[in-house]
Amino acid sequence: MSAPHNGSLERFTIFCAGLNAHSQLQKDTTDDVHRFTPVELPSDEPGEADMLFPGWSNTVFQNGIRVWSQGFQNLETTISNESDKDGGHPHTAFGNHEGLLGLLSPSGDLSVVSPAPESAPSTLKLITTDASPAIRHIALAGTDRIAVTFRQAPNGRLCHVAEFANLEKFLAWYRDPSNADSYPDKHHMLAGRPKQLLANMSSLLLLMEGGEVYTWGDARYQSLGRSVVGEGATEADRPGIVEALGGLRIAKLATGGWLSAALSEDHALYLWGAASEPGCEGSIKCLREAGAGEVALVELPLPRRMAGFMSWAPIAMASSG
Amino acid sequence: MGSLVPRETDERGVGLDRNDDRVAPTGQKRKTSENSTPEDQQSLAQEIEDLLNNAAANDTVQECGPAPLRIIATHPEKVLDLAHAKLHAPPYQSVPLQWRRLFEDASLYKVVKLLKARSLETLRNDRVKLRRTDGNMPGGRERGDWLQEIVEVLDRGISLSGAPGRRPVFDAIFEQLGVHIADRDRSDCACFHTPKPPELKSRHPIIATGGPFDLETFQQRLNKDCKPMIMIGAIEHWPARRLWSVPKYLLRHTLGGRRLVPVEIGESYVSEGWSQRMMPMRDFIATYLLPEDPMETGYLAQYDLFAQIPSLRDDIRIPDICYSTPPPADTDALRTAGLAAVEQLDEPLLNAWLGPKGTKTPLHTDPYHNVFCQVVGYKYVRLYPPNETDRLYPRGLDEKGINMENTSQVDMSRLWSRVHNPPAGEVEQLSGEFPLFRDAKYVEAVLEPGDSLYVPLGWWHYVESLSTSFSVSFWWN
Repeated sequence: MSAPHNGSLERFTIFCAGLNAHSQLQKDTTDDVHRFTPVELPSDEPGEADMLFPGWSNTVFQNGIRVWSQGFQNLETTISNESDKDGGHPHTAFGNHEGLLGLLSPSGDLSVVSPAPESAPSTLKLITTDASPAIRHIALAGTDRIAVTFRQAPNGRLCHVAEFANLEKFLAWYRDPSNADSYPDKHHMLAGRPKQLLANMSSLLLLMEGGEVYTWGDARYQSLGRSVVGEGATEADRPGIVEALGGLRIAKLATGGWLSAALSEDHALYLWGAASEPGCEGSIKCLREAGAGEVALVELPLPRRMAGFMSWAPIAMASSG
Repeated sequence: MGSLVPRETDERGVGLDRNDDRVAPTGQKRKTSENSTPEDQQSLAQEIEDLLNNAAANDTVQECGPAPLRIIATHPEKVLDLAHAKLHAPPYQSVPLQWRRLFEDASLYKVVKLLKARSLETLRNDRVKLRRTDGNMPGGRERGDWLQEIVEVLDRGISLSGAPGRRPVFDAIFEQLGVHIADRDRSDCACFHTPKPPELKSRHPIIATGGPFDLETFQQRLNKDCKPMIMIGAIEHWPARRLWSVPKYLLRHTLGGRRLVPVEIGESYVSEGWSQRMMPMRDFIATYLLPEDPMETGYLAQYDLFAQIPSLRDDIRIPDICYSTPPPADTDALRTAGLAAVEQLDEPLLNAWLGPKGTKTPLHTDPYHNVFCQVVGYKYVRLYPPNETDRLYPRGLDEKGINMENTSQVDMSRLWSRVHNPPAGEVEQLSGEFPLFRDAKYVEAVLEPGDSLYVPLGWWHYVESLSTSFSVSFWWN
């Protein structure tokens, strides 16, 4: 269920492959898409469309201020036209197998999908007020757990992470943070500035601007890439550093299912996690041998020129793994 | 419910030389390998579909959301994938019911799809057959496979979800499928190879008695002294004693050996590379039980085979002594690992233990009283009382964080193994690592077919099979 981004010099084309049972990738069929195929977009769209959210039953696209869904979810809405200085994906999308649940803008504006009566499309509603907590990142795991990082002062060095059992509990806190009943389930404090917060089926990952990677959550299928018992090990349910990546400066993380990938600044790719989905036959060869605290360095036969676009490779691997 | 209503089964074969062909509706005996017609398959598919469509309005499966339910009939495999992932995401104690319900319903929808596909394929093949002059289709193996696939979907459906909402439907489908398979294998009523091992001349034998084995007598013994005891020949009257020595019998009761069973592969559950896998019973028997010298040890261990295969339950009897009242646990027995978490059982927990020569269950305790019944083959057992626990070096947490304190660190098979000769000097090395162990007092015996062994709660036990072996244990409190 991936819709990876592939770059060429003049324009972006979005290619897709994978689960299509809800016609979320190719509209005229419900068969799986087995080869990377340009995704069908409405012909009346000017400019560049971006893929915001690849869900189990839908794909959400964005073009300028327009956001819409292809597949099961009926979503047609607009958002503010913020973009960060790099001009990349401005918003963080989160959702589940039913579709998109919300968007967080770079400035911390939170919008949630609100259903409409009858067969009218759902829309995004801004719920941030002056009294809302200032959050920077958000991530929703397959277990329904949701985590956020807080906006830091420009010279801030302490990163706060709050965790909630599910979206409803998070929204209750977001709307009334002073109410003791809605306090976060967990609160973590780590040294550094957060760069990326991600979630997969059952664990959370945090990449700091200094290049360190923290993981926490379900340790059963080696998804954390680190030990959780023994001398000096951090328990599974608290963020712990992935020691195997120690000394490396990681530039970007990707994750999906029980598999995670880290791309270092010098373009080396590291994988860790379940060599196969729990309970399944077949596995990724390089991960079969890896133990609880090990990561696998992957050889990728990509020409140098592609290095700048390697950001999509881990995503493609995570979804096909 | 039409033909899915469980019907009375005809009397099951006691003499194995009886001709097991099923009688077809026309009254003529059919010698074909499969009696299931495309119409049978189509009608079974339709019945399952009708049952699935008549869902309760407030069924928890609705909480999975409309997206998976929209495609469950057309794309059951995709919904299975989603439910499978959701089943493995949260800690196993807290998997929400709705995902278990979704997994079982998607499994049944997949079976509907497979039956319909098979029905169409058979019709196509039959048309081809009519055009040929000789009418002989290539042999039965190809026909076996479609049924294997359906059985696997059903067994995985039950095993992963626990069948919280549709257990009667699964049972009825297996019953129906059983009617359509005749016994093809005419060749072999051969028995499992279970030669009697040399006598164990022990200075510390487990007390053995020849009976009587009624509840009252046993209760009186218990009240006097709660100690392990062998009841010689206590289960001789079980039909299993006559029936289970023959692999063919077990195959017949598992849909030609197609039913999936969980098998432990590896020397023991504490050894490197140990794993568990589900496989068809026929594969387990052919690969791990029948060969003289298999590559690896495969053990169908600690599994309630009788919940899965109700017909085998009729071959055993729950020992009366499971209904006795053991005396309250003493201080040492109260320390037994896992005891605090255990609930009062209304009925004993049943487990089957089927494996080759050389299976080893490491020295461990269970938080229940146990009656261990030896049906086929021979097993060596060594027992240590709860008051020796400190000399047995219980384990702690393993690398995944699982509590292993019910298991001893001492590898008994290094010390004593009638099956694989341990290298000399093992006793010395073990004493170095575990100095207190050599002073721990134990009792031991070889269980023979027909014997029953009572193991009180908290007693440490090591079990090693000396031949192909089939045992049944009853846990109670």
